Amino acid sequence: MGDRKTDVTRLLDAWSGGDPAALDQLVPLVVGDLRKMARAQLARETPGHTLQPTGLVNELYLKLIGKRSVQWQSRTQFFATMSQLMRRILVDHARRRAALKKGGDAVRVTFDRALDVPGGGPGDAGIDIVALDEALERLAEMDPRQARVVELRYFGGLTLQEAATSLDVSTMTVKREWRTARLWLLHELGGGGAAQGHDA
Amino acid sequence: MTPERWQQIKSLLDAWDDIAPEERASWLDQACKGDPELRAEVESYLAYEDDLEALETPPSPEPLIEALAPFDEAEAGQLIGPYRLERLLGRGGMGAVYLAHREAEFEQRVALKLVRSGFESPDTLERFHNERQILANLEHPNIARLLDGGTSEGRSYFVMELIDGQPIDAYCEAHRLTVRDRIRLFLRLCDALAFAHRNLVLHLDLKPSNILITQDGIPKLLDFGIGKLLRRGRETRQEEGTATSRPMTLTYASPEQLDGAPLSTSSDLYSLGVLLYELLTGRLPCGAYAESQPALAYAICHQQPVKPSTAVRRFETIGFAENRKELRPADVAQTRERSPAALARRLRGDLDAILLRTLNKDPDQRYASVEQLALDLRRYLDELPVDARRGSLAYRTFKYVRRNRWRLSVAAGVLGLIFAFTVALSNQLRHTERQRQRSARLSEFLVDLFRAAEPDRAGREPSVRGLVDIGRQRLETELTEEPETRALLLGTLGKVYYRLGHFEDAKQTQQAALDALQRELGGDHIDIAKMLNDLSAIAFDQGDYRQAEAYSRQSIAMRERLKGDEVLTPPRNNLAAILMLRGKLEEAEAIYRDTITLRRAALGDRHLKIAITQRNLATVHTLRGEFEAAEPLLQESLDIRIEHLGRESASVSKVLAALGRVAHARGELDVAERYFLESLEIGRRLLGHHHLSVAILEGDFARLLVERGELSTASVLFDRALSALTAIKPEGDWTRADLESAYGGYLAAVGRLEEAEVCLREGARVLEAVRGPDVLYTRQAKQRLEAFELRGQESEAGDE
Repeated sequence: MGDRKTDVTRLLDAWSGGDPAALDQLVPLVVGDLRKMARAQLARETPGHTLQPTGLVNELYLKLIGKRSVQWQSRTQFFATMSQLMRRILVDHARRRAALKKGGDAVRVTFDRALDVPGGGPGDAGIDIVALDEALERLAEMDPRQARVVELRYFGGLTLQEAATSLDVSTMTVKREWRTARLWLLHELGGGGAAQGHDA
Repeated sequence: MTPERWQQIKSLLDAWDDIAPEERASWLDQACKGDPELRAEVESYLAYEDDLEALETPPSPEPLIEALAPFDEAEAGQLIGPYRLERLLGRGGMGAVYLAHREAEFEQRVALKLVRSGFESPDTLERFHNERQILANLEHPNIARLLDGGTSEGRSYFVMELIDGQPIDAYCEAHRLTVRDRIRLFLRLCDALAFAHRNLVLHLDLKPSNILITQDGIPKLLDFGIGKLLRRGRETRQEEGTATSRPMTLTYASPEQLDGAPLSTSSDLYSLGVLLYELLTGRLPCGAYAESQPALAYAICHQQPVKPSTAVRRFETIGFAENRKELRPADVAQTRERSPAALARRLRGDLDAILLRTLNKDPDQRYASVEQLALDLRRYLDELPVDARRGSLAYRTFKYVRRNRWRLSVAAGVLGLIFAFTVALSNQLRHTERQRQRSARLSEFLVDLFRAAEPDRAGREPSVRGLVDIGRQRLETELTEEPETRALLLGTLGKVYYRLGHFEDAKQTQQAALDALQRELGGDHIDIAKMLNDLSAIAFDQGDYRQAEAYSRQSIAMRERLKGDEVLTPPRNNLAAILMLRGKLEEAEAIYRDTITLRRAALGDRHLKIAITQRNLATVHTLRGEFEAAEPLLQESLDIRIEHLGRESASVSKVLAALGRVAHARGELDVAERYFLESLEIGRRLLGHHHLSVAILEGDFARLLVERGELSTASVLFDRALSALTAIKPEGDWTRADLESAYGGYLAAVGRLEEAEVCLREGARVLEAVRGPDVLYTRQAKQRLEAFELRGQESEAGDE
């Protein structure tokens, strides 16, 4: 525990000192924190509060960075890196679940009203995370920056302005990229994507 | 698809968005001429335009919860210890609750709570065992009994009396209980909690879902899950680590719970207060504007609850994220009293006072116990005077600041003021024996005043406000043999109120002083002129500019009649400030320039008074958009102030803020931010969180954050600034309008367009009416509105 703590501090120092790679090394170390925070959030049972990637990343940021003085750009960088982590957690989980389902022995847990965790909005229900992830991979091959916009917005919950800062482009550019990326993804996930089939 | 092909399609998709709807078809024909395949492809993407929203919704929280904190559900029919599960009743963060019965004893049904697996930190188990012990000792008709508990296959469970009931909030709504009936029901809950407290048990997680009302109308308190045995005379301390590491329901948590401060019965009392507030008003005391969990936490710790009687007449948006909804006063009133007005009448006064006292941020200022709260509610039901309304003036102002430094600093300023007054007066009076007596009588009065406020007599430290209140009270009966001295002293107290930001008290006191002095002196007198000038300043800060101008002109005229040239500057500066508001910038500038010259000649270059006029002159420049001229003036003003006062002073804080505004207007955001932050830090420390200057500053900083895209922080600051300004300034005030307009900009940025439009329009309208079309604020407000309208037209066009 003590070691982990020093590692985290050291990496945070290196990162806020201008070494972006340190942030990537930090990622595996914070998963435990995320677990703890997820449990704490569940235990708090705030009515109507959604336990969402954005909320978790915000909390993690406060926890790790809270009192340090960090540049605005670094802050955005943190959120950008964590959006990758969120994507990985969600996709891995979805894949595991899909694998279990094939085995036929898994009980799919559905959260009902008792927990008062609202499900996604109307659009959310239709999104298959694994398919989205694969589509996003294909997009990244053609247009890496555009794929990044999706990651930041969808998995990281960054605002247009934040995403723009993170990618060092104008908000208008992000806005356009985000729109066309969604058109592309929806196309892939809808008619276009189905035709290709899933290889997972 | 090749990257090149995608870029080609993408640029067409982008362009499509910019083209007027009616021209799109022909434009696309043109753009894809000779490549029908391209056209088909582009169209196949455009087919998804209506579904864009689908990806705007963040991923559902469910997989994330599963991924990070998996829960293996037990199944019906499974045996947990000697209990057979029948079905799931509900699920909470820590586990799930099942309907169960002991094997072979079907008639006795129980509720069995099973710990969420993957959740079993030693901490949780300890808490569960805690709960078991605590509840076993608590036997009360309104507390759900604990029957059994144990471990099964490594998972902890325990067994409780099965309560068939409805959460208290739902029950009250379903039965349309009146305010008085709600209170009666609530009182039974108080009794149960008081019983637990007498047994040294805290609940610490009170919320509607933990309070069930049976069909017979009996309240049952569930789940002393995180209660801790309270050792007599000792407070329970939270364990090491952040407050978030312990389970609680944020909505009902007390400020000290969030702060990680020591917990006591008072924390439960606070949660009860939140619950009662909710039962009576249909909304939460501090969550009025909170849009997210962190914002709510912040509000709980820092935002004053809105008076229940005021709250029930407001339209509000409540809840988080997708659950946000509009709350209408009529809907809330419908299940309680005849109408919103009737409900507000019912709450006004006693219930307002009782709730605000229960919800005080400072545990020491709340009721001493749940019994005391219950007692006061019973007094209310019996129409007896309630305890909460006694001495409420003194609390209301000082609940936050008791431990703050600013008390010392302002107290020192106040003492200085009174002291200066005394010295000046005794110098005047020194000459005759009779006057010496007068002077002695005066010091006696002051000494008595301070003695009355000594800490050991009141049981707590004296507050400046309390001191001044006492002084004013005593002046009603004392010093009547010295009417002139009395009037002047009253005027001094008025000034103190003014400095503390209590404008209404300041106005009344100063008015009374003026009346008394005019009675005494008749005609023109320099002291009367000074008082008129003070009254003008108060009216100015209250936003009553007409009155301010009238007082100011009276004061100046009187001084001119008295021919005291050297004292003419302050009132003329006041007039200049008023002229500035009226948009008469040339006239104001002339007065300020003149004043600086006069003051330089009389006082030297580095006098504090010059620094004040410099800032005013800088404001004229700022209002005209002449930032280059404003900046050096402010800088010099700042230097002089620091020379005289050091950095830690309210006056330095104000100039820093002005520098921040100038930097912001020039687009130097980093510089502006540094100024704002320093100014805020000093201002909050010295003036407290609710001072006018601090509120305005928070509003300014919030605008900057909006430009930076730090919207959630901006939202918190806007909320604070708006609630402070709304409390201080009347409707139609320009500072309020200015803030409202800026808030409109924020609302537009977060897509709350309808609200945004109201704020932007109203803000611009008031500013134009009050400050005229040409000053900076009005221009900015209009620009914001125009940008908004432009955007609206664009997106309308885009939607076609």
